[in-house]
Amino acid sequence: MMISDLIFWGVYALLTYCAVFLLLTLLSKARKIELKKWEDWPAVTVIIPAYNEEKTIAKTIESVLKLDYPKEKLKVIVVNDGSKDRTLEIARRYEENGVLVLSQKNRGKAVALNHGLKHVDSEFFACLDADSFVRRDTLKKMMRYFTSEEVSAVCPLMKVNNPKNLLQKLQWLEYILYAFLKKIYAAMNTVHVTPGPFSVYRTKVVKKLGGFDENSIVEDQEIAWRMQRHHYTIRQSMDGEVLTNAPRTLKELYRQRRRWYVGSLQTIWKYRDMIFNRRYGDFGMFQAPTLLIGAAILPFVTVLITFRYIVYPALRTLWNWYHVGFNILPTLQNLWTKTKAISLLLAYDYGKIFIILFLLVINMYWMYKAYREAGEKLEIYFIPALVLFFLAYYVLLSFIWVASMISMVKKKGRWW
Amino acid sequence: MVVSLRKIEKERYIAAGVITAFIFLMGMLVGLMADIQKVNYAESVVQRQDVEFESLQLQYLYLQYLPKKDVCPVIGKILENNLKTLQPILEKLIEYEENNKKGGEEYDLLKRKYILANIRYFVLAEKSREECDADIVTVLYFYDKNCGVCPTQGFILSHLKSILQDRFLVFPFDASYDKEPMINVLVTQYNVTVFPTLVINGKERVEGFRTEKEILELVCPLYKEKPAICEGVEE
Repeated sequence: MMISDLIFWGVYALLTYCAVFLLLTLLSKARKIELKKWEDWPAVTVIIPAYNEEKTIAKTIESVLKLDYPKEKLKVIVVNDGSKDRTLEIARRYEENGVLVLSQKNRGKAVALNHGLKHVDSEFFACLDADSFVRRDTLKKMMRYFTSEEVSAVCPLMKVNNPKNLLQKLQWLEYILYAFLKKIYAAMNTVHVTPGPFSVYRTKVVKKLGGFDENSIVEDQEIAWRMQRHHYTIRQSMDGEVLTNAPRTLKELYRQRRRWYVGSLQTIWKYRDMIFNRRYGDFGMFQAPTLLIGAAILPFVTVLITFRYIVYPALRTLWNWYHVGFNILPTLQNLWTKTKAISLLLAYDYGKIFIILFLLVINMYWMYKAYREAGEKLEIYFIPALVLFFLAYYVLLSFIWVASMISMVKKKGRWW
Repeated sequence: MVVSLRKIEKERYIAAGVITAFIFLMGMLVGLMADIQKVNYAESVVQRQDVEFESLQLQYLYLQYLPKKDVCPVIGKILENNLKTLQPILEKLIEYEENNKKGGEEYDLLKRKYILANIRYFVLAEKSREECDADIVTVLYFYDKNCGVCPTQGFILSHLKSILQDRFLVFPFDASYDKEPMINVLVTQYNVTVFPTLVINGKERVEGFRTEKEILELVCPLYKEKPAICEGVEE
């Protein structure tokens, strides 16, 4: 057996293990939570950090002002992080609606959030990226997940806003699947990221933990890891929706993911002692190790496997075809007459096929469940096509990961 | 609100491991069962081929006492039949074996039988060409596992084979396979030192990679009745 085969099967076994583990968790733990019925809705402050968001900031603020929530319990703070465009000017227009507008020199999102946090005196606060929008019922739905004191944060159901091109549609699908995955993480209490678009936090917990980490380029991951470290509970809402603008081009996607990937590594490195640490329960034993594998090994292996099993054979075939002047019709005809049922029996390794099909079936089940949970309709026959598309997209992300790692090694720049 | 130590359900971790192992075991079992089927099938092919070839040899021996004009059409027919039906299946066997990198005694035996069968075919083809004036070209194709251009050379040869059909007979030999002594005999006889090496009609030795055009330039002059593909090939 070749080394590439060994790597392939090793990774495959690992993935299968994770898939089975998550399925078992889904079946045994993901039961309905008794949601809290607030007699008296608690006060919430929404912090909107904004850096050069003149195109979307108005819509973002308006979506918050339109929230179905008692007006006297809702406060909005916009923190302008030294924008070079008209962001500040647009935000100031909403001061008459009671929006508090703060401004600072460009120092990054975490600093902006901490700046806003100083002005928060409500029991809860939410962060909302200035390129995302909430629905009218989002906040009320999310607040119901704060069922006890130890729930320190609730994540929204993130959806891609108005996906137009293929890249955005793939991200739309990715977000839906990811939300479902996070539902299972939440059932184990292993959520590792409270995303920038509208995660709601319990103010005193964040303040007690010292606010957002200003050295992190992914402060929304870092704060979640810190909460896990202190054994708080993070919940995932499957009905409180927030719409976020997804990168439209490969270049934009690359910039976004580079920040995420490098930031993940930074965060994992910071909390490396939690990996395989039983003190942190499922987070230490399952989540942290799988995140490490996902952030440090899996994309690299994916790229290797893609080269070994797809790119190399494809180039080889093209090279062969080139040598016969791309006149491949005779070969194909010959193949056709040669391909009898019996030679098909000889051509494949059915053991491999069996195992690969198994993971595909899990994937499809996964997609089906995720769609249902996210309240989206899906025709069953779309699923196989989506799985294939999704695999291609995953390969693309892996290539972006490799490019990110190379650029991280080459230079240390500003990420956000 | 700080909880002291989080609980781990060991059962879930173990169950996931057991199920994963079970899936892989099932996969291996399916693979093993398919392999048994394959070996059985391969053996039956070789057995049938052995009998057919013995019959063929006997026919050949017997027909030698007959006048040449009566023998040759029969030989031609028999050779054609055999090449059309058995050769592709044997090729598939080897392809399968190479793709799956499977060792084992069964496959070694199969491979040796394939090599021997190939050599017999070659001898028969040469005889029918020399004695019966069959308008065919034979190519002994020596390759090596470590030779980078050989897969492409092989592809070009199969491409030509699929155009020229049974007028172009290719006999591939893996020279790095040391379990069949007949290969060494051939390698020594044709003094094969580089890969790929082609031996055309059992005489002309060509060393190194050859493009489709170069092979056609070597092969086309040898046909009495020119195939369509040979039009425009310089002689």
